[in-house]
Amino acid sequence: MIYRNVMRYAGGRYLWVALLLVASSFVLYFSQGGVQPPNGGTWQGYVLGTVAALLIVWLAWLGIRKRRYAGGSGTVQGWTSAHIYLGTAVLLLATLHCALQFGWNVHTLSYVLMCGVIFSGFYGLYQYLTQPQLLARNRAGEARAGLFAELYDMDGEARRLAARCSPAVGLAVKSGVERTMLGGGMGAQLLQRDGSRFMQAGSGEAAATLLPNADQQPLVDFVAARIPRAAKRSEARNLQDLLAILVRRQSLLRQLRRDIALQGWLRVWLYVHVPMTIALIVALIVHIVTTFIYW
Amino acid sequence: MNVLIREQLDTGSGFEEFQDTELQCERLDIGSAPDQQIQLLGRDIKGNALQLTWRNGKLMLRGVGKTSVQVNGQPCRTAELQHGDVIELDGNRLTVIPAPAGFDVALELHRASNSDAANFENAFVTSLAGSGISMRALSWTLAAITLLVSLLLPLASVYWRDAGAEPPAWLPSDALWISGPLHPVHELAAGDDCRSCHQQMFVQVRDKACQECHEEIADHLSHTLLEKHPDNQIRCASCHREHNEPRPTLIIRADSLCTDCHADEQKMEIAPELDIVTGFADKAHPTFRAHLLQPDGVDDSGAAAWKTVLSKIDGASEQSNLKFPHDVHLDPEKVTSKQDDAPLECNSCHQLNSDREHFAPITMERHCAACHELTFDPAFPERQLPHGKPEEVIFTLEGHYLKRLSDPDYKPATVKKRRRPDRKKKRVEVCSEATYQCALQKAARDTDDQFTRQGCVSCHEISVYPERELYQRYAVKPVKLSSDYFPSARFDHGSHRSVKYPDDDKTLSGSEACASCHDAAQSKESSTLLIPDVDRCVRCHRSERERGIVPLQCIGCHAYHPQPSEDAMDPAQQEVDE
Amino acid sequence: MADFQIAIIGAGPAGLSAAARAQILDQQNQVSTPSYVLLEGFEVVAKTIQRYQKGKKVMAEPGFLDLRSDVRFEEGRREEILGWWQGRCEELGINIRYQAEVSAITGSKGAFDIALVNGENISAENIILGIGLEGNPRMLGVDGERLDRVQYNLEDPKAFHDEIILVVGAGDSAIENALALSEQNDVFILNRRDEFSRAKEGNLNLILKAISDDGHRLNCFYSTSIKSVTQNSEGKPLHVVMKTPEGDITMDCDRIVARLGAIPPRRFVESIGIQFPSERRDAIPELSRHYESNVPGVYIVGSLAGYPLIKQAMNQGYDVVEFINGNFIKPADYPLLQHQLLGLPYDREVDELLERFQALIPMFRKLNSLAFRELIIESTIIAGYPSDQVLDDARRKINTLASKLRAEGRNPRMTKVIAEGDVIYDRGEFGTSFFTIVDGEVVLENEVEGQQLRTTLGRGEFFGESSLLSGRPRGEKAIAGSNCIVVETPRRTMLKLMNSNEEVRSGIDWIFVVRELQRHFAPFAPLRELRDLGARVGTRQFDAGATIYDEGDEAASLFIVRSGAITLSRQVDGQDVLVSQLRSGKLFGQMALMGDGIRRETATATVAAEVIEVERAEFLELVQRNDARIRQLQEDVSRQVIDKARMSVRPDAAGLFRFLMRNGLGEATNVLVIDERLCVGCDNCEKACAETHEGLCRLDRKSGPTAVDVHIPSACRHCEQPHCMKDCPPNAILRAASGEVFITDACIGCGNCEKNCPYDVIRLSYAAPKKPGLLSWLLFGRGSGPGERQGFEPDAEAKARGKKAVKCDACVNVKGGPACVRACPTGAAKRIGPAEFVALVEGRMQ
Repeated sequence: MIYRNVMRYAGGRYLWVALLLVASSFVLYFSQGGVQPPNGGTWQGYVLGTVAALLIVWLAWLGIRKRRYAGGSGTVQGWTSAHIYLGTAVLLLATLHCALQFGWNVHTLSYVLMCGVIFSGFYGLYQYLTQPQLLARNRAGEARAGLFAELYDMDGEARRLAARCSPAVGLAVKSGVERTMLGGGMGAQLLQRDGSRFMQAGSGEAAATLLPNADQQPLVDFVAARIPRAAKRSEARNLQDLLAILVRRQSLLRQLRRDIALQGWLRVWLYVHVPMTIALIVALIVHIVTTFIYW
Repeated sequence: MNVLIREQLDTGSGFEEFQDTELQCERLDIGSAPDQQIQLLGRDIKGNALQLTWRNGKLMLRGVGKTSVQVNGQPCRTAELQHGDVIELDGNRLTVIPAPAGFDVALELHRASNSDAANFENAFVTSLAGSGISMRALSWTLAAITLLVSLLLPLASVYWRDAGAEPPAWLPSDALWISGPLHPVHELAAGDDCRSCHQQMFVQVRDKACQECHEEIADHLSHTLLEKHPDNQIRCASCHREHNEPRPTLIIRADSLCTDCHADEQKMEIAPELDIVTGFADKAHPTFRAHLLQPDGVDDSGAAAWKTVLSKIDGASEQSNLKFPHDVHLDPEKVTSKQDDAPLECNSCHQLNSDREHFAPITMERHCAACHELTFDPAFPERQLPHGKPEEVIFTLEGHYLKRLSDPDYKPATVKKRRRPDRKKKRVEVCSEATYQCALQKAARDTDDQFTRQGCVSCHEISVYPERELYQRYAVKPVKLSSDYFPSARFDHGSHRSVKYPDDDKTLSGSEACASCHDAAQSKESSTLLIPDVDRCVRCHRSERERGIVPLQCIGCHAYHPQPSEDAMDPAQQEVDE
Repeated sequence: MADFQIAIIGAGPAGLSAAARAQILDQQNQVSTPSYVLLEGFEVVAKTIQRYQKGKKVMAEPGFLDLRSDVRFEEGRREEILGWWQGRCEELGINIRYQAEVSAITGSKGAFDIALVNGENISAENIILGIGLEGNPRMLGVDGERLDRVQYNLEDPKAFHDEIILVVGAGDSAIENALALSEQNDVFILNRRDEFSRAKEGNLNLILKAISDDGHRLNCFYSTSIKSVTQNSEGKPLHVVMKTPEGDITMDCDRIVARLGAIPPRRFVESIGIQFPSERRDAIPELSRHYESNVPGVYIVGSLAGYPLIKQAMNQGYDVVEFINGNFIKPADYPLLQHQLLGLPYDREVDELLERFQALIPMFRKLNSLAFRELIIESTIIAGYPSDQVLDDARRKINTLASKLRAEGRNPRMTKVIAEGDVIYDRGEFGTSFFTIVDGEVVLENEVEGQQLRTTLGRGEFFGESSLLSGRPRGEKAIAGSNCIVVETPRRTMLKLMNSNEEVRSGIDWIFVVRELQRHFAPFAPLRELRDLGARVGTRQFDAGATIYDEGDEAASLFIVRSGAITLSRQVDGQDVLVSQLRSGKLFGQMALMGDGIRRETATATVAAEVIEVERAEFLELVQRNDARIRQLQEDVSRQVIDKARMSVRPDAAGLFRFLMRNGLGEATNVLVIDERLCVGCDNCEKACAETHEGLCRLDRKSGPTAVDVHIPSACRHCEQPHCMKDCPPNAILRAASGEVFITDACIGCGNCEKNCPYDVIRLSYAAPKKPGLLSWLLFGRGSGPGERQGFEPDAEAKARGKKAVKCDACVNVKGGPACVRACPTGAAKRIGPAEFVALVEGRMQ
């Protein structure tokens, strides 16, 4: 780390803001005293709830603020730092607001959604703090475009060599190169699932079949198996060269797949965080409206 | 179908070179996914973009989803293909060529030259944004479900029910909006029908809803006052909070609920007779004002009437028409129990009711008669005057003396009498008249004695009308003891049977405990009010939580709702002779 | 009697305008045979503009200059302008001869003999040279070199497909053309030698790879040249005979693209007898006020005369013809000069004033009057008055005229009237203009070790040369003295002048050296005492990567960095360890004079650098002065020794430092550096950049080098001496006082800056279309999201306006600083300056 990360932004300024907020909330909470049990309906409860709701709206506003590139006060890093600390504080504030009273109702729904948002945020923060280093290490100073460019060259090389081999090897390698799968759906990207295939020519009359080629290993094995059986020296040499390319390709693909997966994990929490935030805001409105429907 | 795919290779040599692939499949899938029979890479090509089927000698093409495919230059979605037709997909060309023997279909494939390395990366979906799952769609969906389930559907069920029909069971109901459990009784009464209390949406629960069940609960303020002063509106729900947790606690005990009005001089203008109360502490609470009884002539029926007057404790005196020196009775030198010769305790006479606040009525028969016998003739110590019926006293005396004097064995009594030193020597009774006359005279003398010198008069106030004839000459003033000096406040005598003052080490109990508030031992007159003032209470109780102090809230003593009296009588009055 | 009174060579803007004037004069004089001829080597007019890409917007800069020509010219698209010109040619019946390339000019005024390539000869009394700077492409030099399908430029490689094309040449343009053509064609590249030695490294790699790759439709003939080209009657249209080491071979092809470079016009111009003042490539021939060269009767106009803008060239063409015809009309820039000199306290004619000015400034005395005139036009005249009634009068006079002209829609440069005691510039300001005192006094204020230093400069002296040469911010404060008249010349004009005039160059160099010596060694010494010394101290230039001295050398001199940056490194365990990085204005190598005389480190130029070398004798003379700054010098040396020792024991930090330097951060003043361990790849920096800059992102996060978690994305570094500013015809690239280099709307889209930038951070782009509101995208996905506009389709209006150069301006006008940094959610992106580099490599950034 050469710069300060979000947690330590401005010397952790927003940590102290959040702590102050939480401390005053606890004071407020306990001021409800024994006269009436702590509840969202006391004035203290209303204050806590209002503050928490406004905070949630403000926290969600980060989504707008970070896209208001020209205007807006402060830096997005500052906002993010505050977002993290105050977001955590909201968890406590809302818990104090509801005084740990839960049930099968819209109010608890808001709480649950809020917890979903906050805990997915915790996960995201963890990712943000740990993942970039893994990403950088995996890419080893190369941009993803560079890796793709190299893969592209490898593909061309493999095709060129394959064209000189026997039709069976040629078909296998050519189809293996073409049917290499990278990324894909969300699951495939995150779990590095590899649905690559290659085509094996049928013997005699039989048609060609598509075989799985996960991690390119089957194709590597296929080519390697042909080396000892090569009829001519030049063919063996060709196959050797081909194998070297295929292995290099394999490691390149692993690197790319890992890059895609790491990038994916770095983002995927947002697919929980953001939609749940939107649902939370709706639930919050419903929570407030229903409180006043049956006043 | 049997398919021959003839792919034109890009060798750069200028010669046309082809590679043939034979396939056998039900359906020929074309797309960017690796499991497609013909895999074409390209940014805009979907995993499965085209499907070719062979049916009844016809080759049919179908585009999957929104695939934009061109057949012979015309965009289309489905087509029947003929020889020579050219399918174009994002720069890739597929030409239908005559099938050689043994094949149903033959296609010539000319791939788009993806010699551009920059485009190569685009052939793969490498970011979550491209994975087809849209955060925006997810957000909208989740938000819509939330809105629907938690607000719109329950709302629908409410209107359904309002319309008089029973909504289907699966429909989320307004039970989802509940913010906490109901008081069990209310739950039993209302069930899950929120509308039984929340009758109007966005309007706070009205008292009317409560009063539908709680019909006879009395109001703190009269309606006339409320109508005059609408600002002082207090709702049931101001004090009674439903849906409270953890225990369903209906009553809010905060002092502020009282002091909001009672500490506010402006609001209290509607009841000028009441003092301002800001809490329970020195000076925060006004001095007590006791309800005292005062004779008020006679009512229409001729019975004695009483009125209640409010009086500050300091300097208050009672008028009960009963003579009772507490000091004498509590002085062991003077009075001891007849049974065991022990000194009298407070509870010898004052026995606490089961309500732990009030005491059982004092009656002559139960509390006085043991010592104060109503004998009148020493010769007949077993004969007693009837209590409470002054005219029968005369009849009793007359009857007694008639019977005695007409007794042939009569002789004047020789019984020694206790004499009091200050009394003159007893008159010698001499009667020379007829027995009957003598007996009447004797009875009249004794009657006079009883009502003016000893007997009745020692405890009661007697009115003597000498001009009247005997039977109407003496009137015992009616006696009434106050049973409740503070009808609008409660005091738990039971829990004060033993007390310890904060500034005192000793724990007091029994009569000592009583005496620490009620200074009976020094009370010579029954008119002295033995009720302590607020300063006595605040030694131990204040509304603020403090060390060594037992906190006391308004409703610790005062009830908000006036208690309905069971016999519709003034609760402060008690007929002694009951 | 000559064939023509005037022969105009080159039908560019200048030549066309001259020919049109001559034609109209002929018409007025009712001459039936034209008195002039316009010779064009090409088959159409305005060859250079023809080569512009289709639809390119051509600007009419400078806006303040009026057009004086019989040919229409205003801002418009390439096609429009060419249409006007071609149309005007025909309408007037201009006597133009196409394909008339001139091979030689002999003779003298009144009887020039012009030999054409096709063997014809033409005689003329006067010659107007309007041939521009581009020169003619070198031809194949064989029969058939002028066949239709033999072409010397390639507008659009995509225009051809499935052809067999021969590309002749081994330079970058040949390689680029061959690679581009080979995507759709079979290409053979013909290299006369056995290797591609002239090509850039990147192109070299690409071409070698393409040649060896069977998949690529590109092949190469080495040591091969074309012997002849003939037209085929059937089959492939061209028949080529090639000479190879193995003997002649023949080949049929569709097309030949010859990229053999251009023949620069200078040799041709010199062959006429015209002298250039220096050997520099961009030197401009000396001309008289009427554009007449040292060869009487030969007039030079247009970019060859140093006027690269179309409007200027056309005005000159007009003026020259008028002059040749004996009409001494006032040049088109006359009113400009009038306005510029209006605020001066003299009541004289413009020409008289100019002559007086030139006489007053020794350095400019030898300048030709045309160059001086140009200098004044491009400069701002500052007149200082004592603050009294006269000042108010002068201001009022200027303002009245200015508002009157503004009402007419004109906004000429006027005299800048200031009060005595006003600050001309302050310390720390970024400014690169040069100031010459014509009259009065200017006070320079400097602070050395807490002491105020005041130097008063008088008539003929100049100042501001330090920033001009080094690109550093101003080191002193300049205050207007009594009754001063100062000429403020922009850097570009000054550099042009320095390149063409040795007097100016050496004068400025000399005073620069003297002031540097004064600053470092004797700040309290009067300048004149150091002048002799300064003349003895030389400067040396080094290319990027060149070694200045090696570790272990014995030496007796120290250096002051005049411009560029120097890297000092040491050998530690057989490895080069970078110990220090020096920038202009810094001393190095003092240890040789103040220590044991052995170099302790190796000094190399990080980027092209210029250093002042001070030998022992001069050094001793300096430090033995009473007012020498010897203690300060010693303290500096001690501190440097500590710093260097620390760096040499921290090879990791040194390695990172070297990485930074290798990527050109040595000349950066403000560079975006991303911490890879914090960067989550959200691209918010790019989006912020696009959103705050009319939808066009000026940085590329993903590209750019990375080392030890430090990533330097492709984004402007705001170089100390911006390469992009070197050659900007409309002077549209400016530097803010706070250092940011930015492009103004005056950009004409010429692409010079893009070419000049070594870091590939400038590109030409159409204006992006307007975007819908953020919320409609956020909620409904309508339109493109923030920053999501790569590859947009420009609208008609944007296309009509043409491409403009686009680069990072470090958000110079944005409150709160650069948007990329402000928009980074994790704090991974920061813009830092050289002062923070050491903290960065030592991991001490805050």
